[in-house]
Amino acid sequence: MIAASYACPNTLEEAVAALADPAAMVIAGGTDLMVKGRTRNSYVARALVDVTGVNEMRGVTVHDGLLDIGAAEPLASLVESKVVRSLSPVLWQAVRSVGGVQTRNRATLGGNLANACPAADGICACVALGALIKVVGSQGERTIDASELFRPCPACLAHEGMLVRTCLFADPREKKTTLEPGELIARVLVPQRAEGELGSYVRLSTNRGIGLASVTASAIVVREQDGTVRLARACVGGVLPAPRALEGSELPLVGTKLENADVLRCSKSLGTIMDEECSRLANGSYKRRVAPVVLGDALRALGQEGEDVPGVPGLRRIAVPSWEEDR
Amino acid sequence: MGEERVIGQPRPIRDAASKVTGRKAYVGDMSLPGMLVGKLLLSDRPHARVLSVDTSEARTMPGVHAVVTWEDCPDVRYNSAQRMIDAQVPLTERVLAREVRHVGDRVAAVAAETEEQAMAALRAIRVTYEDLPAVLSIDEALAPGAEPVHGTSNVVGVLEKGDKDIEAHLAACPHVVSGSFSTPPIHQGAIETHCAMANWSEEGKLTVITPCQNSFAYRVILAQIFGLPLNRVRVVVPAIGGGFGGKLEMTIEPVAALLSRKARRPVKMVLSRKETIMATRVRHGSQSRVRMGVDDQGKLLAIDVDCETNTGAYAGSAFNVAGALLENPFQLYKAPYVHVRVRPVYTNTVPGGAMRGYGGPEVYFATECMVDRAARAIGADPVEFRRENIIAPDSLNEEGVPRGNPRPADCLERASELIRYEEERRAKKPGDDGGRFAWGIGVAVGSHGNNCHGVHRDVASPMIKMNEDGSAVLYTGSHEMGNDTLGTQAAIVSEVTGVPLDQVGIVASDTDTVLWHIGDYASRGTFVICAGVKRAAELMACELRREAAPLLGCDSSEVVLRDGRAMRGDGVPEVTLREVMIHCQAVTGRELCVHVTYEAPRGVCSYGAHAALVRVDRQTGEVRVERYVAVHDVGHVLNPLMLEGQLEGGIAMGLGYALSEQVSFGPDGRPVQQTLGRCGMPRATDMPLDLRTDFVCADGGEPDGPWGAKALGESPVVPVAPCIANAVSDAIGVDIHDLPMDPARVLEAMGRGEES
Repeated sequence: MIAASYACPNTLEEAVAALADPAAMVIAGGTDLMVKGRTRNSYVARALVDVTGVNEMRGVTVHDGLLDIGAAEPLASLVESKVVRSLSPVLWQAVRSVGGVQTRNRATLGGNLANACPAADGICACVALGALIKVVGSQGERTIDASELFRPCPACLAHEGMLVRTCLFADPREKKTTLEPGELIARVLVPQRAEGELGSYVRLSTNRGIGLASVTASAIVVREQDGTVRLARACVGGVLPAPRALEGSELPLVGTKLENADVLRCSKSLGTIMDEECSRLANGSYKRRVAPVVLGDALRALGQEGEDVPGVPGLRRIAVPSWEEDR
Repeated sequence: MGEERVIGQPRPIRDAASKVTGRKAYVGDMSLPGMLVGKLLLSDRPHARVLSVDTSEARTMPGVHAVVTWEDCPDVRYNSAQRMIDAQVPLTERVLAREVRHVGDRVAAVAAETEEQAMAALRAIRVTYEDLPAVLSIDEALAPGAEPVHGTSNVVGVLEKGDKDIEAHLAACPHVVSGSFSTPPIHQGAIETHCAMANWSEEGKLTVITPCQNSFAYRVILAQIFGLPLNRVRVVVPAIGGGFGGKLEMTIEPVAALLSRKARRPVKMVLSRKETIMATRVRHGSQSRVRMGVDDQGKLLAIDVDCETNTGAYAGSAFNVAGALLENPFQLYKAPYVHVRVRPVYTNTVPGGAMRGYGGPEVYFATECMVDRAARAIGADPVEFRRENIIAPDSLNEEGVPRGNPRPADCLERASELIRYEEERRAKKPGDDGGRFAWGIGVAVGSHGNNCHGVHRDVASPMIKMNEDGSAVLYTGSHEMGNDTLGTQAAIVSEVTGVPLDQVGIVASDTDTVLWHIGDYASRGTFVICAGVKRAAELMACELRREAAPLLGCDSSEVVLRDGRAMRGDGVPEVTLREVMIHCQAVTGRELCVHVTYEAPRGVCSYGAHAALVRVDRQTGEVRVERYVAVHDVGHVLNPLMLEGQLEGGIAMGLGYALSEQVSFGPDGRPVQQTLGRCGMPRATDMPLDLRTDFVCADGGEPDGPWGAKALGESPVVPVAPCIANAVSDAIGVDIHDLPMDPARVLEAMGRGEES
C-alpha cells in the first residue's frame, strides 16, 4: 500500500496536530484501509496518521458506571478482557465475531466505528448498548451518542453483504460519519451492564467466508420484578442506510412481558421500516425476509426461549437444538 | 504386507514444517539479478475488438523497460491445456488478445523496475475498443442468433457415449424420473496466487520458473509460441503454494517470457487475488438434465445425462473436462443402458479449466440427487436402492475392461454404519411438526479415475541414482502438490532399496534434469507415479544386491536391503550401502542409475461414500452440517496421516461447493466475487464438529497399485454436494436443483415447496 506520508504520534495532542493537514486521515489496525489501499491504491495522496501508539487511545478503564475503552485498543485484547466480558457481555460477543483471529489482533473498536460499515459487528452492539463516543479535534472534545455518529449511506445498501472491499469510499469518515475534518474517535464509553439487564448479539452470514455478517442484531432489556419490560433497545445491522437504535414505537416492548406476540410485533415493525427505507437494498428480498427473523432471535433470546451463555452473565442466546437433544 | 518400515506408517508431509513456519521459498519469494516486475493490463469488457493500444506514454515512463501488446506477440494460437506435442486440440488463445473475450482477458503488459512504476505505466496505456455483443451464460450462448465467441457456433463440440437407443429403453421403464440441475463456476482458491518468472539467456534459451502442475506441457506450449526446439525451453517448478487444478493450464507464463525477451532482463509477474480470479481459470459451470428409469423391483435400468459445460472464453480444457465428465455415469451403477452427452459451450466469461474433481463434482451432483428421486419414485430407501444397484468388485466396465477391485459397496456400508443410518432414519424427525428447524439425512457415492486413460497416453518415468556414500537421488517429473507427492515417492525408494528415508534426495519438476512426465493431475500420483517409482526402486535394489553379493559371499537373490545396509538373509554378515557403493565405484567401476517408463493399467477408479445429517433453519434458510461421514476406497493406505488430512481437505472443498462458493458474473460481464473473502470458501470453524472418516481395503486392495494402493486425490470432493443436497431435500421435503445451496436459495426452494 502506498501513501503520501505516514506519522505515528504518541499523544492525542500530536495526533490532532497531525490531522490538521487536509490530506491527513486516521489509520489504526489497517484491516479495512490497507485492503482498499492495496486493491485500489486509494491513499497515494493521503497523509496517514497511525493512532495505535497514542497512549490516550489505549487501555480499558471503568468509571462512573462506564466501561471506557481506548479506540485504538485491538479487538483481541477486548476479547481477552475479563472486565469487558463481565461489564458488557454484548459488546464482548460482538467484537469476538469480527473477522478471524488475525483480523482481531489488528482491528480496533474505533476503526470498526469510523469505517462506518452498516453491517459492522461493533457498531451494532455499541448502538444497541447506547454507547457514547468521545470525539477529539482541534476545537476540543465532544461526546456523542453512538447512533449520532452515522450518516445515511444509500450506496451501502446497494452492496450485497456490505463488504468492506465493496465500500466505495476511500475515506468513510468523510462520507458516512458526522465526524468533522480533523476529528478522531478517541474513546468509546459503554454503559456498564445494569442490574438485571440482559443482552444478546446475533449474526447471520449468507456467505460462510470470513467477511462481514449479512444481517446482525443486538438487543438489551431490563425487566421489572414481575417480568414487565422497563427498558428495551435494539440495533439491526446490514439493513438500514444508517445504523440507529430501535426503541420506543419502533421496538414496542416496554410494558410487555416479552412474549412471542410482542417479539412478532417488533419484527413486523422492522419490516415496515425496511419497506420505507430500504428499497435499494441489495439481496433485498432475502434480507427483507430474514432481518425480522434475526431481530426476533435477538429478542427471543432475552425471553423464555433464550438461555444464558455459560460463563458470561447477562448474555443470552437462542437455544439451538442439536440432533441428539432435539430428537 | 505388514512388514513395511516406511510405507503404511504415519509420516508428516516432507516439507510441511517449512511451509507452516514460512521458511519455504515459493516463486513469489525468489528473484534473479536485474529482475523486473511485470504487470498485466486486463480487459474491463466481456467482448470487444481491440482497435488500438496506445503505449507511447507508458514506454517513456521512468523505470519502464518493456511494454507489450498483441503486436509484439508471435502470431500463434495455442491451447493452454495442451499436454502432448502431437495433441489435436482447438487452438483459440493468444498471448495477448486482439479481440478480448472476457473481463480479465490479457490486453497488454509492462515490465518496470518497481511495481509502482509498472502500475503507473499500465494506467498510461490507452486502449480503444469496439464493443461486441457478449454471451454471459450457457443459455445466452446457445440462444438462436447468439454472437459466437469463436468461429460460427458457441458449441465447442459434442461428446457422446453409451447406448444410442436410450429413448426406447427409457420408454420401456415402468418408472422414469427426470430433473434439471446447475452448478456454478468456482475459484480454485490456492493460497498462492499465480506467478511466473521468465528469463532469456544470451544464447536464446528461455527459462520459466513457475508454480505449475505440468512443466513438460508448459514447455511444449512455450516452444510452440516462440518457435523454439524443446532443448531451448526450460520449465522449473521449485514449489507450488496450492494448485487444485488451477495451475494445470498455462496462463501468464508466455507474457512474462514476452516481456523478458523485449526487456532483455528477467521478469517476474505475481498476480493479485482479483487477477487470479478473473484472468486464470475457474471450475467449469454446468447445467444438465438427467433421466433415470427403474423397474418395480428397484433395479436401475437406464441413465441418460445431457449436459452443457461452460468453458468460458477459450477452448483450453473444454474437451478434457467434458471427456472426463462423460465417463462418470458409467462408473457406479450396474444400469444396463447408459447414455451421456456433453457439450462444452463458449461464453464471454473466465475460461473454465481444471479443478479437483474434473467434471465429477458437476455430474455427480446431478446424478446422485436423481438416484434419491428414483428411489423415492418406487418407495425405496436411498441406501437400500444404491446397495441393490452399485457395481460389484469383479465386474467389467462399459468397455469390457476390468474395473480392478472397486469397493463402493463397502464404502456405502461403512458410511451407513458410521452415520448410524438405520437408527437416525427411523428416529422421529423433530422438524416434521413444522418447527423452526428441519432435520435431514442424506447419502451420496462418487468416483474418480486413477489416470488419464481414455483421454491420452499415461506413463511415469522416474530415475534413481546412487551416491558413493550409499545415499540416493530420485529424479522425478512430479510436482509437489502439497499432499506429500514427493515425500511419498522418496518413501517408496527407501522402502524398496533400504536407503534410509533421510538419505533419499529428490530432484523434481525441472524439464532439463528429469525424464519426460505428463504432470500431476487426474489423481494419478499413487496408482501411476508411485507404482512407477516402486518399479524403478526395485531395479535399483537388484543392482545393489548384485553389487553386494560378492562382499557378502552369497548369491544376489539372498541379499536383503534394510536400514542402509545389505545383509545375507539371516542378518550376518552385513555391509553398509556405503561399502557397497565404494566397492561399486572402486572395484566394479560402475555408476548405478536406473530408470523405467511405466504404464499403469486402465479401468481403475477410486470410490467414496458420504453421509450427512443436516439441520435447516426454516426461517433463514441456513444449513448446518451436524454430522458428516466420508468413507473411501483407496486400497492399501500408504500414509494414514497424510491421507486423513487430504480427505478432510476434500470435504471442506466439497462443502464450499455445496453451500457457499461461486463465481458469478454481473450484466457487464465482471466477476462479482473478486476477493477471497467473497468466494465463499469454508473456514475451519465451518467444518462439521462431528466428522467421521474411514478407509476400506479388502482383498489386498487394488491389485495393480503399489502395495495395493490407489488414489484418494480428487475423489473426496465428488460426493459432498449431492450428499448435502439429499440431506437438505430430506429435511425440507423439496428437491434441490442448483448449487450453491446458500440460505437465500434454500428459503426460495422452501417457498417453491409451499406453492406446489
